[in-house]
Amino acid sequence: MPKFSFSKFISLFVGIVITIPIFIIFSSFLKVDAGIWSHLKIYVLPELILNTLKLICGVGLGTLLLGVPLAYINSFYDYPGRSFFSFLAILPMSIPAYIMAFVYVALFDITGIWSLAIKDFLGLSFFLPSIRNLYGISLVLSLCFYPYVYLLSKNAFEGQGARALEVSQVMGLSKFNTLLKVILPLSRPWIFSGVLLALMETIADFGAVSIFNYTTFTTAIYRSWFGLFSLDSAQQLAAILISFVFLLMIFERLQEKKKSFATIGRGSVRPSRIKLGWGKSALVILGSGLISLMAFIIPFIMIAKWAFKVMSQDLDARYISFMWNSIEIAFLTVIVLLIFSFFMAYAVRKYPGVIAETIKNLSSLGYAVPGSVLAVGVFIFLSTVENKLTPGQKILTSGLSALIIGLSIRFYSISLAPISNAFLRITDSHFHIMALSSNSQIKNFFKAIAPMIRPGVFTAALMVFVEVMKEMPITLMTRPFGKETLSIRIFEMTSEGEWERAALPSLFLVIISLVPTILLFIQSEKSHGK
Amino acid sequence: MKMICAFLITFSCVLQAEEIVIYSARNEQLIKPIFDLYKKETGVDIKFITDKEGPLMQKLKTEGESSPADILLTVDAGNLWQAANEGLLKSIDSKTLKNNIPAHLRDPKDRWFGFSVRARTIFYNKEKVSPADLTTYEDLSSAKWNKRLCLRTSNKVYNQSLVAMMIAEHGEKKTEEIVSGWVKNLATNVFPDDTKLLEAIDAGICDVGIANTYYYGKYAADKAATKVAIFWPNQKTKGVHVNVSGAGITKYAKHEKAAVKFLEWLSSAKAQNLFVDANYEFPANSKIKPSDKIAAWGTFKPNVINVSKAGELQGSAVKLMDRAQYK
Repeated sequence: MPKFSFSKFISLFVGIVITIPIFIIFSSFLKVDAGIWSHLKIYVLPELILNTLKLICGVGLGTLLLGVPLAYINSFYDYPGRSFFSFLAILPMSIPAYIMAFVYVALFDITGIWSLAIKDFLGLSFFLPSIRNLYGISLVLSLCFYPYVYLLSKNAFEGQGARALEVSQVMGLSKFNTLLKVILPLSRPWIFSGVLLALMETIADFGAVSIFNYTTFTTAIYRSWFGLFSLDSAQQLAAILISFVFLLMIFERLQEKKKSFATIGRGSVRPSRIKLGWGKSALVILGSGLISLMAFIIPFIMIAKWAFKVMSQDLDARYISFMWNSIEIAFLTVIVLLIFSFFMAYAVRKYPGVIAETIKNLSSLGYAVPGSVLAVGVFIFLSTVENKLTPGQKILTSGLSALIIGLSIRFYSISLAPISNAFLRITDSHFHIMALSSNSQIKNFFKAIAPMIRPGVFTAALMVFVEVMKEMPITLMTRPFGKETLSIRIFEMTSEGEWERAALPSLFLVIISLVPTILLFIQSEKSHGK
Repeated sequence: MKMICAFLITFSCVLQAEEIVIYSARNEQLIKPIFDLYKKETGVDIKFITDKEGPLMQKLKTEGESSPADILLTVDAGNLWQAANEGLLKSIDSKTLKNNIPAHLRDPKDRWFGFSVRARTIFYNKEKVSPADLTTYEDLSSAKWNKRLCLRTSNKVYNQSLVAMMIAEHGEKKTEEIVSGWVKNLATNVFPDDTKLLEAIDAGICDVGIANTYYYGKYAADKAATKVAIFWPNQKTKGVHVNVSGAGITKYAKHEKAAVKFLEWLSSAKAQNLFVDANYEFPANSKIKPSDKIAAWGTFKPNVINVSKAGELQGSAVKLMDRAQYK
């Protein structure tokens, strides 16, 4: 297909551009400060590496246990209120992790509102234990990040087609065995990439872990930079962190190798949902209700409560522009990233091999880099390009270009994961048929391929939109003068610990995120009806 | 007449259509009112961008000569020292600034000046501690405070500066003993911010703690019935640890004159009160009285060792706190 091979070129170009800031971070190894390193090695790293591994296990397990069962039940079963609960399950994504962490600390820390209320109510003479520990932070981050696993698993379950299930039933497998031996193995790439996104966000997180005072590898990164004034050491630590993620990706890729995840039979035929009886329905409702209560309803109520408290003082006409700027930036980044990821995913599917895989994985690493460290890498990259191309003029950094490119670099993996997973559904025969058909390539594409990758594209668009709305470090560093967004407002309030005042912009952020979430939801329900 | 007036207004606008560009690590809500007032008084437009100090300095460094920034405004002397040390700021030759800002609150080489002062002092629970038992920061490491002390995380620059100043006074060995003593006396995990720490003292989880005065100002404004009270330590020795939020002119400032003028204005009586009152801080200009609310906390002897020491010794302080297991 010579006409389409320019996708190879574009994906290579995109891959390289997106990876440059990562290389900038690695180039810090040219200047190693032995004094700082020997200090870190003795006093800092042993504990922090252990802490980080524990947190990875906690959040990995948490997001799996919340995300996969919810996706499984909502994909294969029907019960009263299913639409409502499957919608509710996506919403925690719209609450920034550091806000969720603050809500939980405000409620359940030793001096937490609820902790003190319970203590008084029971007349206890001692304080309830603090939740600022490994279990607390694992719970909060799992509640924040399980929607990635949920959304991607749902894409996997709903795209498998009815045929695989029919085959397993004909073979006499029980429902549980079908889940274990057919559904889960067939969904592995989706589940893995969902968990990987959650873990990348976990290791890059600084805000939420700081509130819980849980020190991770990223704490050492910022401490070296801001405390020891050594950006080089910070970048070196970040480089080690992302190398770890890269190895994880390679490891998983080797495991998946040579397995096919193409849909059996006609992909658009989804299995019809099995109606659950009253008892089981009640259990499911109780379970997903409880999760949503903890992950969305309680935090949302607290945010709304604080927001109303400060509204008279803080709410003004500028909020219209904050909202508009947030939406504009998120929307533009979504468009750019969908195009980028489409070409990359297409090229990797069409021309598989070590080079394509490596570029794909390298370019996905931006999400695992602590935000401010990546922001510096992005800024150095873009200013250098700007100075070389048009010395003295700020063609990139004075407008939105730098910001959109920066955000695209950060969130590339979030849009690439669902889209490249969607391409796994497409078999070589799809391409052969396309090549043989007398229709134009574009027409062929929309007929044969578009319907199969559509759920992945929608999921990617939603996740990127919501993530960009919440993003701070890159927005802070590359925004043009006067371009203030909701997340910048949150930053202004939280930087000196005025958390309750940050609730107002957070509330707007959650409400705006509802719009794409509803759109995704309608789309997914519609395509199920077909 | 009208024509002349219109002409004069337009003319003066053209003359003063100056602007200043500020990179600020001080929050928008604390600086915007000042910039608005300045514009009203002088017509000078102030463009600004906020971010954390680390990234802001990196931004300045990367932009180099082409940076639009004229002023770097940031909190904590440690950060100001670092900016000067990296060669991002230039010396300011201004008699007004030198007259208004005391020597210990500015860079010895005049590359930055402090404009507001915050004290990092001791707070205690009135029902559990008699102020007569309190003396110094150093004393908080003694056994009598076992399981009674609350501290904020050592990741925060405010604690790094405090420990750096102690190193300047006592040397590393003694300071490490003190910090280890603090860690031993902790009643609970360190806190993510000063407000949470004050809440814990209020609730009786711990009896004493160290926090910045302006957090207490905000906290007490919200909670009239608080049990937390302020104590000024080290009055018989060097004095209370103070720090600044301050500013300097960037090396490649495009509007240097206008920027210096703005900083001079910021050190003046009118601007000082607006700049510090909103955040419960003390004016850096010693001729100006703090607001009534802050004056009610009583007077104290500040430590007049130059605050730039905080930056010089910050790296040592961070390493020391790591060794002492101060999280």
